[in-house]
Amino acid sequence: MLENLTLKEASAGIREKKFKPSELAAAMMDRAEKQNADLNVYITTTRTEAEKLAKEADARQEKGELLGLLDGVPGALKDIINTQGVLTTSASKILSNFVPPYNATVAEKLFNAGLVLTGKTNTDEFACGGSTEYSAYGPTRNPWDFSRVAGGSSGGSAAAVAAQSAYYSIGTDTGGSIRLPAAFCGVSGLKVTYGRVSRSGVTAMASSLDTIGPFAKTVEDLAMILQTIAGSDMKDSTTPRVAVPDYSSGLNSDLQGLKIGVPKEYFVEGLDPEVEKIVRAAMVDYEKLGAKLVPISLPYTKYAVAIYYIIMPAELSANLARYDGIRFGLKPEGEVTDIVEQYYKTRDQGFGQEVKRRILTGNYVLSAGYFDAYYRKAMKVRTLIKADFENAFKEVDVIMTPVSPGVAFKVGEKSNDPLAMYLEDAFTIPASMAGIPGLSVPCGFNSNGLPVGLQILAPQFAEDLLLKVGHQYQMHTDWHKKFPAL
Amino acid sequence: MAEQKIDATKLKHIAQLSRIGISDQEAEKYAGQMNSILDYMKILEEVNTEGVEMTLQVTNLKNITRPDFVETTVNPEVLLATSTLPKISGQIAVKAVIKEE
Repeated sequence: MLENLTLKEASAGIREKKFKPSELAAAMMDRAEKQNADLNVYITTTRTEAEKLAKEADARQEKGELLGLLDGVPGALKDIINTQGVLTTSASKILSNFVPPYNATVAEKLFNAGLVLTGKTNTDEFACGGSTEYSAYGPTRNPWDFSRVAGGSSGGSAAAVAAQSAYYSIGTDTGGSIRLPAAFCGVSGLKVTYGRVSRSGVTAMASSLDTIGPFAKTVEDLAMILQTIAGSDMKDSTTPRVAVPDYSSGLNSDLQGLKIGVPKEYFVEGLDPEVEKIVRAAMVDYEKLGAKLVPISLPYTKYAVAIYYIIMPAELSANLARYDGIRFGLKPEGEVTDIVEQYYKTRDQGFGQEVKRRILTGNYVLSAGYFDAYYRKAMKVRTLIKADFENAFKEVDVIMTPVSPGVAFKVGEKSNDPLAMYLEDAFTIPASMAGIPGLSVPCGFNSNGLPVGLQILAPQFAEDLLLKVGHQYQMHTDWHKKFPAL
Repeated sequence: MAEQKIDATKLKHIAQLSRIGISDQEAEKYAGQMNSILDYMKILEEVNTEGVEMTLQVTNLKNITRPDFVETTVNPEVLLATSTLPKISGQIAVKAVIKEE
């Protein structure tokens, strides 16, 4: 069955002429369109574009002129990534008519590498959320259990891979938005070091935290995708000129002597006992592979959520000031007499409740009289959290934790309680604050058959180490090979 | 940390500054939710941050510059097409910015 292939296998099959890119595209588009009524993975499916791109790849395959390992393989992009000529809504009503005049750098790089686009995946509006329930286009359902959320904000991208309507996808991670849905959907997902992948042309949420990264069925596949999208970009001044290593070449070296830090602050009350058991079992598997577990402490962990919900809304409120309905976006209903009224109406009608809540919080914490108490304080605590990790990495090579305190929750369970939703990110936010990379790999299922994710963290720009550590685990376990019957 | 509770009036003021028109009902709801979120922030009072520098960015970036040259020519028509407002002489026409008193 074509949908069961990994990216690497699909790529090899194209190279060996076992099948055409257009056959893969047809199989993926059939699944994407059929599943969308139940799962709502895609805001826009792009059969026309996929057929056109696949046909071009067919021709290159025929002539033996394939562009690279990704050429002709169908993949999906989160709907906050600009795609020239293809609707890009950021899951908001305010951009319901926005067709970008240019490609984001990450989209451009993937199209140049032969991406066959299956569609634009669902997300929380402007990536604001942890469940994809705050999309203006309805929630994405978890492919393992339709009554549950896919996680967020990149829920559609994770679910596309889990539901096998794309061989890979791209999402974004600001406070956990790749790692959390990867865990909830049972796929592999990588949050990169801050600045490792260009954000040019991707809707900005919180500029000191936003990163872009891949989802796939295996860690090996993630390495292939990262190879294509990583690197500095003149259009994004936050991408340092740090060399991009060969991410695939080191995957097969063993883990003998690897020191794994296990922070006690991540195994606390509130952690689902079943999740803890599964994650601890994965760590024992690592011991069998030659690694050594080292108990460590990251004492400022418990403050991370509080500072995140100061820093992120502050930056978001500034970034979202540009959505005023003038140069692009929504035309509000009803008559307006002056420009300020137009702003009010456009933004009232265009933004959903979570986005409004965050803009209001952001503008409040930045306002005179509160700036010191909230924003300045948060930025200082951020320094302490970053130092926690720097100190830990003097003693250990990587850190392992659960991705989240629990498994995928029910749709509607937390959507009216912002604080409960925010606490879902408690284990993913600290790494975002420090700008370090994090990998989420499937490491088991609970008694209800819902996937559990293991989070692996490494120092800045050590994606190669993370990928090796993840890949070695997948060489010895089968959790990543399980997919929901759809 | 600042003790002031946010009420609907205060919230509507913040909304006005944020250029979001919201209803009284929404103002009540958001004020309540924001208070519980801000209450949660009080946990930060426990942390001694005396002498700690702020982290404004994480990868030690210095100023990034590039040569000043034109890389692509974007067709103004294409950019203007993303706006739903009327266009006059290659510009977007907006409603009055300054009102007559």
